[in-house]
Amino acid sequence: MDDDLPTEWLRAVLPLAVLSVVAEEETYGYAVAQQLQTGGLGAVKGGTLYPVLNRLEAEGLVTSSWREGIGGPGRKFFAVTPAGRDHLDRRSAAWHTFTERASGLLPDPRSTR
Amino acid sequence: MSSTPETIADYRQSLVLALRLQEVPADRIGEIVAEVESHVADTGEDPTEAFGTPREYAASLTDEHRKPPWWWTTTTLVLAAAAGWLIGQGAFAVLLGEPYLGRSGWLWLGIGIVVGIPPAVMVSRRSREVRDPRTGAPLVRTPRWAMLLFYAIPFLIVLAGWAAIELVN
Repeated sequence: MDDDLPTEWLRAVLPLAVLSVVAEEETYGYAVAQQLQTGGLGAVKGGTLYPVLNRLEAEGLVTSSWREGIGGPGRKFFAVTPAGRDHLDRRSAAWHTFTERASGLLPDPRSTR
Repeated sequence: MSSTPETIADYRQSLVLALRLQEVPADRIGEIVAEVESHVADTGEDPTEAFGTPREYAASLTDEHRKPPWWWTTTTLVLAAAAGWLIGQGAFAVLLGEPYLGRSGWLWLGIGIVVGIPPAVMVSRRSREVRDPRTGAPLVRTPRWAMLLFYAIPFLIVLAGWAAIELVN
């Protein structure tokens, strides 16, 4: 993926992408960041990621709990709630519709003019 | 740049202070600080590199801010000043064995204490200890004498004034 993607695009999709990673399995912040990077969204800093996770929790879409680490400090694990899963399904469908419509309006660089 | 115990301890101190200044509740401060420390323990990053400076990070967490309206802060300050003045006048009157404005010093002292309850509640709420959600231990140690000194200062001022008046007489 190109590195020069506008940050507002990432800001728009990040809450849904984070919710999607948490919905896969109960996980913690650093693992979410790694998954996002593997998925092609680039390196998401802690200062960006945790406010998103906390907002999802405040909205009742995820829950969190501290677990003791092995030989290290505890980690905060996040798990999706039924409301979060429902939100993810609805918003993902809406996102795909939106991006398809947007793609239809934009020129395709692969096609010859 | 990687984190060291010193940079983490410094970051913790500064972040707690910056969040306090944004009126973030003590339990949320504990969570936010623990998230930072847990994350950099995993990544090995310097906290400033991962989260920005403590002041920037605290300022960015606008959802967490609980700043009271200006009139609330003004009212609290006025009540605290009135309470201090009434307690001082009442205490002087009691110590000198004279009435103040024709009323017993105990009355003024009592009114001062009642007036001082709302600001005292606010101060105690703001200074509630921040605990680490991972261990339950206090995140920043406040010396026991700090609170004692906070309450002792007005008493010492009144006692010093009284002693001065007694010496002059």
